[in-house]
Amino acid sequence: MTCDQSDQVQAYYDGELPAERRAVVEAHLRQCEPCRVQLAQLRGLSGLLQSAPLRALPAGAMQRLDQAWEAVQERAVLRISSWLTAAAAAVLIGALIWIPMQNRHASELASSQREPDVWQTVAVMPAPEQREESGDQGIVLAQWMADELSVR
Amino acid sequence: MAAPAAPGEALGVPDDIELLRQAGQGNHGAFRILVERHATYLWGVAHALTANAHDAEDLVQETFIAALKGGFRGEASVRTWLVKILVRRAGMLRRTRWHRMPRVALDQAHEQEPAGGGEPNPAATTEARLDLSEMLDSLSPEHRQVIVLRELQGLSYEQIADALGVPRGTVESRLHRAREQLRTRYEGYMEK
Repeated sequence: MTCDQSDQVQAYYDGELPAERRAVVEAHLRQCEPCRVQLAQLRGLSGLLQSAPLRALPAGAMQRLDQAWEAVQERAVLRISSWLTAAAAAVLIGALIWIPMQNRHASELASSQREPDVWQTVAVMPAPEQREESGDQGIVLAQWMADELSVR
Repeated sequence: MAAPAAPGEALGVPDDIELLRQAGQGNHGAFRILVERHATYLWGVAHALTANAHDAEDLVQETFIAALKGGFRGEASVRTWLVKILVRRAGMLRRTRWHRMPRVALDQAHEQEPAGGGEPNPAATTEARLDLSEMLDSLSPEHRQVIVLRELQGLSYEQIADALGVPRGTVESRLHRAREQLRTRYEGYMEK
């Protein structure tokens, strides 16, 4: 024999009903034997389940748990080692790429600042202030040629 | 009345929360104490969920290893938190296996008839109490989960729903069906 309120009995038993709904169910339980029987069976079942013994841990299980712990610690050490190795490799690769780039840049910078070769400037009239200051033979020659040509 | 102290607490050994923190930082002694306090219980629950000693042991190992990674927020006891991890992993284990038949326990200490065979006979077992694994063996894995979390751990419907990743209504209906099955099967064992 069941009651159409029986679905409320479980929630009532588990303490899941709000206060006002709980009061309604309690009033119903006072008048409904099937629901009271259901409530008693829920209590009986809980008692049976909560008192039922659990299976014992099998022999060797504690040792295997210790081994699982060891395995976790080893994996953690390996993980850290691999990170360090990867980091060191990244630094090395970076250095192998970066240092030559720096050297090339420095080389280009240096070449852009040196004195031009003679052949690059022999036909070019040096600035007046350079003529007397420069002791470069190429410039002296250029000066002579310029002077000769200007006379003619 | 104060809750009974866990083994070791009376001697000044740290509580579960502190042990969990230390174990997560690599303290083997703390891990060992946690295992001694909870492994037996967890194994019993795991076996009730899986009906298989091998799977139960795997689940217990996975539970402790997962616990080392942290995540305990203090919303329940450490044991309840461990059981929630275990139940979730039992669900994951089941989903990775297409055909799951209850197997005879592999360990020598639990040789028994294949699970699910025959109706229980209260008269024949008046001296040998049913253990939890036997009681839950006739249930589906989903029903075992809700029974364990509600009846053994006292979680609310909302907490169970959160632990299993299902709606609250699903928890209620599964609980109702599981209890009906158990009530029908074990009515003769219940105290009048």
